[in-house]
Amino acid sequence: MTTLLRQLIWKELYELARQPWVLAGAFLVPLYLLIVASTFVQRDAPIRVVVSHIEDEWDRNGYHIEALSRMEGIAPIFVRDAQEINLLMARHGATLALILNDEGRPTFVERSATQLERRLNFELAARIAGTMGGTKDWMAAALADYASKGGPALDLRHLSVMPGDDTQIFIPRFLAMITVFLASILTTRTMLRELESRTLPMLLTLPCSSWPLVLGAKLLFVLALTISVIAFLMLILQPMFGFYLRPGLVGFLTMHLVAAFGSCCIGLSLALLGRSTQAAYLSVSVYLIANLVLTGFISSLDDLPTTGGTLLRVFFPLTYLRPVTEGWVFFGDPVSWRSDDCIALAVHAVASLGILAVVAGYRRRQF
Amino acid sequence: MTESNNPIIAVSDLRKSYGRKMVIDVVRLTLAHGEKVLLWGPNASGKSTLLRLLAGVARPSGGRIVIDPDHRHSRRALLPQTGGLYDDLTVRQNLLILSRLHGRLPDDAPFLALLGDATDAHLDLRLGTLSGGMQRLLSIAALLSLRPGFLFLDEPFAGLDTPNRSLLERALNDFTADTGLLVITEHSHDGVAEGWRRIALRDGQIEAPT
Repeated sequence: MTTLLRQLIWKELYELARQPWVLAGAFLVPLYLLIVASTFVQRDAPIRVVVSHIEDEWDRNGYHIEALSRMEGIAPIFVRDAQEINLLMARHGATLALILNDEGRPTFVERSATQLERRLNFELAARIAGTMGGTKDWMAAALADYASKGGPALDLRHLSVMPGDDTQIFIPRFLAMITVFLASILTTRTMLRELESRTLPMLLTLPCSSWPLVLGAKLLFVLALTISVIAFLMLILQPMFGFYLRPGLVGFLTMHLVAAFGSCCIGLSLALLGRSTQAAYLSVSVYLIANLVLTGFISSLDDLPTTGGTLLRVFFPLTYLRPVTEGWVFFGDPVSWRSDDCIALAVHAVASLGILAVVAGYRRRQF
Repeated sequence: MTESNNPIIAVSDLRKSYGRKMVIDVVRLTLAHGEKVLLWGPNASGKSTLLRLLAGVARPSGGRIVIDPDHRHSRRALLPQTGGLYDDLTVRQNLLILSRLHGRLPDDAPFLALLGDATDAHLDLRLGTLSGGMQRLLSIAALLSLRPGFLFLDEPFAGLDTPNRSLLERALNDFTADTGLLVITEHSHDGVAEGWRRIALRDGQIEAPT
């Protein structure tokens, strides 16, 4: 059975290799969209920077840090690009600026010189971001932790920004979207190909073959391809957008794998349910558009009634994968396996597998 | 006659329904090693469904299909009425996939016997670009070259001209002579040579042995 599984995965790879435009498309189209769309966003979206007032000063172990936690009474400063933010930070003598978007999620801009400083700044920023609006104890803990790592002197100022959108916000959202979209579309395509060419009987008559084995091979192949594309994009993003690989990459990729698994199951289910190729592709398109519209990917759904909003979001993995991805890319938040988002993604994957089992059982009875 | 000596497939009370529509209702049928079986009947008589059930691809709604333990691990191959191989790949690429999946090297002899007018160049063309008859012939040739123990072909002669039909008949005769069970479907038993066991189907039931 293991041998057959390996050969079925090899078959998928062999077929893909015979269609280089599909293989190239899987890797290059997301990259192309990422570059074009993010460049467009970066150039056109104005960024509103708000500098909050100084609330307290800390001076421990030789570090001088000005920290701000209160958000009222702030004076907005408008800038149009990252260069202006840098100038603003230079004027205020800040090496690290925390920025809040309109959803209240902070990100940061830093002007440190060394990798070590970047890392330490980032960790501190993540802690501050995670406890925004809390007591001051977090700051003491953050400083103690920072000092214990022997980092260089750090001037920290807290800026807040309310952008319409920008590259930093776009990229993690896009990565989450790629995972969900690619997994769904590729599994749908590979299954429909078998149904169109009527090769499923050939696969099912193989020694030790079965429906779960054939579907499992397709799942494993698409999962491997999707994660390869995400890893490829991460590598390209590093020099292009100034991100860098940080601890927690395995956890980050694992959650993408879980989300991709759920999407693969949904894609396979829709392909098996479709009465025709066109009907199957249409249903997948509707599912993916709903993912974009109903998960807060395009615009916030905060105005929706709580129950309605929750009901709308709960069926779509993008709802949960987006915050997980943003948390890691923005702040380096390690994936917390017990967080609501991770649990929801796992539940979604299991539920999708259940749906696939029911659909495959139905389809097999109809075969 | 729906009984064979030394059966390798024994069917009893086999039923297959789609919703409330019963499409197969076979009380008893046995198929023996080395047999050439023709399932024939009009459209919608259940030939293809019975073929899929015998091949183990479709799941019965009721009843049993028992395969002789000695032949349980024999290789099976099923070619549907249309398609069956990847038409955007070449014949050679399809053959490579089949041989990898079946875990055995293809046998040249039955393959070459069915080539007919096809040349080496045809083998490097995408299957979808070949004529319907040529696609059919090469698809069957690919399956025969794997020498499966059970071969199920749904209307294998459809779309073949007279020379290619004779070519296929000879190849199928050679197949059953030294391997296992061959089951095919056709609309009629006319034109099928002697030596075939003919089973007529109507409305999903075995009508009359001929």
